[in-house]
Amino acid sequence: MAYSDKVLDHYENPRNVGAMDAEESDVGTGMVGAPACGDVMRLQIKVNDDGIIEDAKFKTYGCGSAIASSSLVTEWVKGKTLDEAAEIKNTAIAEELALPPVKIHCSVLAEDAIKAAVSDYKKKQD
Amino acid sequence: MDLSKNFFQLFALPESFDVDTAKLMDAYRSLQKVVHPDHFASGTDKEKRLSIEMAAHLNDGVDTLKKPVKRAIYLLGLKGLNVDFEKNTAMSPMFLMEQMELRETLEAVTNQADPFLAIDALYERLKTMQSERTERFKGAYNSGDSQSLERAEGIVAEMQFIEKLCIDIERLEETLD
Repeated sequence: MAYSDKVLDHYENPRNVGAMDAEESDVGTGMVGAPACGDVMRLQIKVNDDGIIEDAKFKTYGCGSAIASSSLVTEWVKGKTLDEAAEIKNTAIAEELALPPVKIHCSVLAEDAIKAAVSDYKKKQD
Repeated sequence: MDLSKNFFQLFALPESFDVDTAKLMDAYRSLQKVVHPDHFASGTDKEKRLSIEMAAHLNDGVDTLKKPVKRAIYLLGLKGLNVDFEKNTAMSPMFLMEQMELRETLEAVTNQADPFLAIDALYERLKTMQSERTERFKGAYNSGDSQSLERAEGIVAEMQFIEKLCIDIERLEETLD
């Protein structure tokens, strides 16, 4: 199966790969996995006092589409509010990366990951 | 051969996670002889088509019952629980963190002084994880109530993860040879 140019670009030059200290109060961590293919994805956000996401990092073990989906999401969420970030839809990710139907679940994974990171951050603030 | 029979009935095996592989293969071979498309070379088109269909069904059946994770998913399906891993990404964070750590360990294997030793250690760890889950799956499946079956589904998801990792380890090992 051929990957789109955008997937290849993110796959070869993934943005924002890395880890943040999950214990920090201004960091939200989302861990998700896809049993269908065994992919694991960790997406982290750093939120400033105004509730804006100022940095994002990810680490993904999976196929090119899963890596590209999470890489793209870390780019998209920077500068967004938590609510805006939580509204990112997998369909938008899939469209941007031109994912074929069999790889749609990779974009679902990335959507679930950002939602999980936002909810982890919110839980910490309570 | 009756296409409406489930795979366990097809091979005359009890509907259980524990499968007698020797019996399965014996049953498979004798049924394979009966439906083999070669026997229908001079048959009608309908007979030919049916024999191909049956041979495919038979292969699908033996493949499903031979592989533990596939078998587990099939068993849950027979109980009315359709396992859809495409939609289900909710996994225990603890388990996922462990998976991430295992993936990182696997990634670092090639930098080890003795990569084969490191691979063996990782493989042993995964085997232990898998057999522990297999026992838990059997327990939950045999309980049979809907809550236990749902628990069994979660266990299969983890088993699928571990199996995928084992395959990736084997692949890596091949590149090291």
